[in-house]
Amino acid sequence: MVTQYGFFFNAAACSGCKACQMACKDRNDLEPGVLWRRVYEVTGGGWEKKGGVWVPSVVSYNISMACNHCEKPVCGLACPVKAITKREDGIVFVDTGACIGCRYCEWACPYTALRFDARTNTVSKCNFCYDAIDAGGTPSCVASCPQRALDFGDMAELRKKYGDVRQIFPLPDPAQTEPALIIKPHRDAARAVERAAEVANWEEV
Amino acid sequence: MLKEWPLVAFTIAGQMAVGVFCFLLFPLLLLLSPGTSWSETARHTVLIVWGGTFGFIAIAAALSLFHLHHPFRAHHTLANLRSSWLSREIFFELAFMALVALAFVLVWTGHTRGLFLRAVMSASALAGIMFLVSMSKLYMLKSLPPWNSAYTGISFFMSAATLGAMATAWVTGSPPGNPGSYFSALWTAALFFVASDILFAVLLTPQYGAAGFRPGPSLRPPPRALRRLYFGRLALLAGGLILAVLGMVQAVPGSAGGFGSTPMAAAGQAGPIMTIAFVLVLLGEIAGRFLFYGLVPRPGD
Ligand code: SF4
Ligand code: SF4
Repeated sequence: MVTQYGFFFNAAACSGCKACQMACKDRNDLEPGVLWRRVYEVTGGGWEKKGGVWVPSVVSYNISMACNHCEKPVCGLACPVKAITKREDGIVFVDTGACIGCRYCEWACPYTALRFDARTNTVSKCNFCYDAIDAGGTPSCVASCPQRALDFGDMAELRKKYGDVRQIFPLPDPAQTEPALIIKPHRDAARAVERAAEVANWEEV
Repeated sequence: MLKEWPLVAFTIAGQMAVGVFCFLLFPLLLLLSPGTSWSETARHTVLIVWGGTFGFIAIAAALSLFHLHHPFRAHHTLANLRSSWLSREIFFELAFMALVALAFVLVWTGHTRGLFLRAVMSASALAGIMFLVSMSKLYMLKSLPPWNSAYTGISFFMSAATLGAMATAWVTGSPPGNPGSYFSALWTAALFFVASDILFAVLLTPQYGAAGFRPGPSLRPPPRALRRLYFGRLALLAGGLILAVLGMVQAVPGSAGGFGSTPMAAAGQAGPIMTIAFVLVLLGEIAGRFLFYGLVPRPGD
């Protein structure tokens, strides 16, 4: 039995096409401005002099990020009305019938996974396409990726398959929430901090 | 940032209420031993100030409902006392309200002699302080480096001290420069708190303070330029401080011409200069609170 579902994201393979973002929006019929999965474009660097020659030092990669259905879901710990709960298989849910719309969990989540939804006047977030999963299917984002940069499964299996990297720049310290997330880093990620990389598409995410 | 006005109003009003209650509590606990009967003036002052405190905290509670998108579900907010500082904040706010109301009723009905009132007053102050502690803790989230520092707690307690001392002195109409009166000494204390508030802000405000700030990696958009708000806040606090100092310098004890001099106090007024000083400091605290919320933009807003 699955005890903790999680996502795998291959930053080395992601082209930044945002098919996952749009598939999620489409499946969940999200309002404009509400994104449960977002693709961050991380860029930095420029030119640097090596010997007598100027060479490009650009770093550029993408991160596709949704709720990580954390093992320590600080969103739920912070919620005053216990509207955020965790299923036995690790999927973290928002009960929109209980949420009072205080938006405190939005501040608590370091992955900015919770978004305010004006239709329900509550927060909302990725639900791991639980109905598809329960029927033996696949989350939409995973199914839509043309690069096969996303995968999902039991965390124990994902760790065996892909290792245990859970953080690349600019993701927060995983010790905060123990996210159910494995990442294959892009080669530029190791130089992102030294080259003052930043998220280049805040307007989109 | 402006959308957070209900939280700005809630935190400022709540902090001021706790400050006022505690500043009036000290003399009552220290000076009035059990069994001593209260003078009518003392009773009158206490009723006015505690009535005001209760009014403020009730207004704060009402304004906080504007922040909720489902206010009719608000009665569930105590459901997660085990792990949510937001639940705890509401719990201590309600406890503070109830205890202040009880203390008010005891004084109103003349039950001022026994130990019970002193116990209720002490419990109210404790609940008020826990209200401020939980208010600070709920913002000190690991996910939010601009708020996750001791400055969050320091600034909330400074607001309570500054506004509490000024409001108590102002409401009681106590004359600055009247030595020997606890209430007029509050003006001096208020000046000290305002000056400290300015100093802490200059040193510790995230992003703008002299101590510097390293935001760290984050998936949260950087704050929009808030420089004007930061300097505006400092200017308002400094303006209030200067005016209050001027008011105190002019208020020679016993002189009829000084601002806030004894005749004004007799009429229940703190004097126009002190009133303007208080308003400036209040506006400075409000600007500071908008700055605080502006430091953490919500993605998508
Ligand atoms: S990613 Fe955020 S919203 Fe999702 S479970 Fe973790 S803390 Fe909660
Ligand atoms: S917005 Fe809803 S889910 Fe989030 S903390 Fe408030 S009540 Fe809980």
